[in-house]
Amino acid sequence: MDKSASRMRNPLGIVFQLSRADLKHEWVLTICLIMAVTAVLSPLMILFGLKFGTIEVMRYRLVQDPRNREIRPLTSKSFTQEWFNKLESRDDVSFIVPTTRQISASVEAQIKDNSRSKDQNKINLDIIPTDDGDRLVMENGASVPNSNQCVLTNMAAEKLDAKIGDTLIVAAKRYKGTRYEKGMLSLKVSGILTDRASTLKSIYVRLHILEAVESYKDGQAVPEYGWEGTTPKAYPLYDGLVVILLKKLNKIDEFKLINNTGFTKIEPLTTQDLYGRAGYLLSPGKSIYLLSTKSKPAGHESVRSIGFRLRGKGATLIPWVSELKAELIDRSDHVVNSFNLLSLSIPEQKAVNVGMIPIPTWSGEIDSDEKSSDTAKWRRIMLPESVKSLDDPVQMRITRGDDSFVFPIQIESDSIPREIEQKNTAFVPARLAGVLNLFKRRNITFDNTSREFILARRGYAGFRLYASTIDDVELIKQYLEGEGIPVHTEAERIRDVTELDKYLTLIFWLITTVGVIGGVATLMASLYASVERKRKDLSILRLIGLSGTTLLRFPIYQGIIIAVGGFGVALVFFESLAWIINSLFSSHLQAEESLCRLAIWHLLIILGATVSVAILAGTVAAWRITRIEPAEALRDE
Amino acid sequence: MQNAEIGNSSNIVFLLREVHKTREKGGVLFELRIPFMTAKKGEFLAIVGLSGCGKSTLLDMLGLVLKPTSAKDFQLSIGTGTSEQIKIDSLQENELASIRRKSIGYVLQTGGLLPFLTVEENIMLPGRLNQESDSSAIFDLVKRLGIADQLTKKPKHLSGGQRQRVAIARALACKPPLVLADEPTAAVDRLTAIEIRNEFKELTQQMGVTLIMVTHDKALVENVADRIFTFNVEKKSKNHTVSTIHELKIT
Repeated sequence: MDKSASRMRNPLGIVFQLSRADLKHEWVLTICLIMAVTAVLSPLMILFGLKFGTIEVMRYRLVQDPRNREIRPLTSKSFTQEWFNKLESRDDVSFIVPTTRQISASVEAQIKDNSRSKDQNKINLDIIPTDDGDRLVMENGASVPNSNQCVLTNMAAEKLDAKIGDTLIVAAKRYKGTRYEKGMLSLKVSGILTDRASTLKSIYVRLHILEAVESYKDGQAVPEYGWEGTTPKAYPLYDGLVVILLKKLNKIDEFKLINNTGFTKIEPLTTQDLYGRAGYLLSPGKSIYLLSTKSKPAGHESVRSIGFRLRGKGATLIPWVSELKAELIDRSDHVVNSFNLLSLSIPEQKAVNVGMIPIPTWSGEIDSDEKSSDTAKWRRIMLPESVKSLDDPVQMRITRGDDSFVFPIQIESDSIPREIEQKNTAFVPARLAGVLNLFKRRNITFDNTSREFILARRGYAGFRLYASTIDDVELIKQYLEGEGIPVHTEAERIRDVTELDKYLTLIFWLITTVGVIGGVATLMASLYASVERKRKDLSILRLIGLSGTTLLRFPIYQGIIIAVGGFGVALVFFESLAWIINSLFSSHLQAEESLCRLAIWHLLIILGATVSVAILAGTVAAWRITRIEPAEALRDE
Repeated sequence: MQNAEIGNSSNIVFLLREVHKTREKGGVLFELRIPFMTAKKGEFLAIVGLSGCGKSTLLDMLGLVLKPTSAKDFQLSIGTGTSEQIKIDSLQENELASIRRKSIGYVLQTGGLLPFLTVEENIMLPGRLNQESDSSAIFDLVKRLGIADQLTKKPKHLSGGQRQRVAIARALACKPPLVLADEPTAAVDRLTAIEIRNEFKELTQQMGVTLIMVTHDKALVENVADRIFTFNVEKKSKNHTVSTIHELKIT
């Protein structure tokens, strides 16, 4: 008796223990009530779990999966580096890397392992460029490889039987004459992507490796990897051609000059015009024509074909380049001066004939065989007399937008006489002017080893672009389409899931509302009925001295106990069913995904809401208690 | 003991003077009049009457669950001495509940036990509510009432007599100055009724507890109760009944 007395002595606990004892006494009814709560809660929990689980799975797949943030061009174009720079600077672009033509983006790969037979596991892989910040690589279990590394897709790794740390021999193949040539390269496998990234056999490498592969396949040499081939040299492009004749041409001959020669326009010029437009000063009495092109500048062939058509007429041809600016840089990389460059190449004898001054020493170099020509012969400049001569070595820098390139140049000992000097104008050989003119359109580098102007790649056929978030995809898509680039996105899937989420949420809340109303009604009715049924007992409690206000807690406590019990049973049901659902669909789910699932905080919210409802229902029942008179105990019906 | 005046006021547990209660039910006015009534410490008072005479109304008022319509005096002296005299008029529900809890034990017709508690828990309940209990005294009580081996049972497993004994044990558990018993033997056979009556009387006398027992069975309390009160019912009109309480002379 002692034990029981002390256990039950806590005054606050008495009502609780009485409520509990009552529920325990009428355990069958209590189970019924708990089941009623369970009946309301379990379907709601499963519904909510499914909603949360499926949407979460889809959101996870959508939001988390970089593939859904990918924007792919539908057509192959030529994208310039500037274009990439512009896109990269956008906030909504998380990552962009140029890609080459699809056709040149495949290599043969094999694990370097002497113990295996040579042809084993030699497979073709798609070669895909990557760079720092590549979401696809970084969010699928690998890090971006460096220049000596590569990342494989899971499929590729399986086919190759490759592990992280293996060395992979990658071969670019090209067909030359009657046989295949291979450019070999060894890369260390630094990571293997999960299947989520791609189910194709692909290898991810730095862009320059892909470019090397493309160049090699195009027949070019890649010195970096010791791959042999041709080197694309920069060629001159002219905006026009100044034709100087001793006699005027007839109309037919004039027309001949613009008929299929590459030039489209012929205009006669006065000596003064020529000086004004091109800076060449001639003695008077000559017939001067300026041949020009409308859009596409003319090359060597055009100049040569004009020479051919005017043979025997004693014509002097000066290839002309418009508006060419360059800077001279001294040995300490300081800009010394900047000039407008004029193209001037004319054989000495002809210069005398047309009375042209001055005549630089390169003057004979008009269109000698460009291929064999040593660039040092025409990397020269004639400065105005007013400019102080500079110490060697001097370099020239030519700039286009953000790009520029620098090459060594030789200053002529002669200078442009003051009388014909135009402001900041210097003469360069036509060949150089033409090559620099090409830089307006194509990227050029000067290779210090071969002393050649090398033509850089024209642009990139495509790109791999990832938006920062799935919400940015649509904006970037619109932007690109505005630029005339049709693209493919996962926008529709994104929209579908967002809408599905919206509708499921709506349906869920509708059902929840009905369910909650049902739950409130059930609990309220049960507790109210229970109070009604226990009038006698409750009135006895009041008679023997529990005040009405204390006794209010009786149905509230019972409500809470029933609610918690109902929640517990519903939780067991939910977990079992969720397990069954997730097992059934496990083949469609990835490791951490589950189709039916609730987070801890969801469960806490549900428990909290259920208990609140129970308290509410209990309070209504309690209100009934205040109307029970203790005197009722004294009545025996 | 007839016309018992207040010999020693410290012995008085109850003092009612000119207490009236008027009730209206179904258009019929019922009036209960108590000209004068006292109960002394340790006394066994029996209130005998047929149904409808106002027994219940009187018991409600004595049990502090019904306030009189008017009263010259309605005093309850609990504990010792007059200093704890309580004027019922001035008290709130909570205070009344507190007095009921501390000072009044109740034995109802069918026991008034809580079905969801065991016998032991039922008996201990007043102690728990008052946060005091004398376990050994209670165990004595339980032994004397012969229900010591019933403690772990629920009331529904007890016989009628056992149930009433448990109710008596519960009513006496906190040694209240006053125990009200409403037809405590109405639901048991004659023999048991007499046994229960005797045990009840014996215990209350020993403990110095005032016992007020309401019964319709005059024979049961005749020659046993210290004093017996009964009702004189008059029909003043078709719709007006007056019941006046008076003490029976014990012969």
